[in-house]
Amino acid sequence: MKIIIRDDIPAASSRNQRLAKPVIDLATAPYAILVLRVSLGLLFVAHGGLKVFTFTLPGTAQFFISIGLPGFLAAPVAIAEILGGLLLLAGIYTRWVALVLFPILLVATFKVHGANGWLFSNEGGGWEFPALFAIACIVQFLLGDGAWAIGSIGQRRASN
Amino acid sequence: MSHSSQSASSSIRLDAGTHWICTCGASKNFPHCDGSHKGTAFQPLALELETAKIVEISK
Ligand code: FES
Repeated sequence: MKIIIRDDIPAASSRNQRLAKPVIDLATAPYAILVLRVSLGLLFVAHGGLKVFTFTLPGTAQFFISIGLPGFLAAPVAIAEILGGLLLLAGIYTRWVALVLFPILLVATFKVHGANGWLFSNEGGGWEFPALFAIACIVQFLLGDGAWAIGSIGQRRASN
Repeated sequence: MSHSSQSASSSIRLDAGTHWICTCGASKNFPHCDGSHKGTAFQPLALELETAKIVEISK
């Protein structure tokens, strides 16, 4: 009589295990995510701040109208950028914040910079930079919090 | 072991806990012991699993 005992790996988690081990260095990955999160956070805060303090909200609204976007979006977009940027910096609801900010960048890519050609140094700014920015948001959404995120402290406590 | 020579093997998923594995080969519910070993020299084997496992047993 012979008995062979194998691990029972559910189909759903086998995919995660296959991906988690060979392709990610788990020792450094959280810091890579942190760098992305802080960069995105700073960029969003800066762009939101620019809309509020430098262009002012009426100025931003005018700019929006000039490129065919509704002017009333100026304040919500500026608030979303500043608030979203701060949440990213703090690492609170990172994934969902990144996902919410993604459409703003899609609009920036296609509506604002789409007509300027792709090259970043074109007049008015080509769309390659907002496109990269948008992709970085999706990447952040897929990655999650990373190191030193306030949002994941509570989670870790809860799971311990 | 002196049980019947036909080679049957079964692969089943067992949950965590204790399972009584038939060693006499007479069980109608192989690989689980069903008490058919009564009157033979065989006793079921206690298999204790801490987590669910795939268990392949051949007679
Ligand atoms: S029935 Fe075979 S050991 Fe119990």
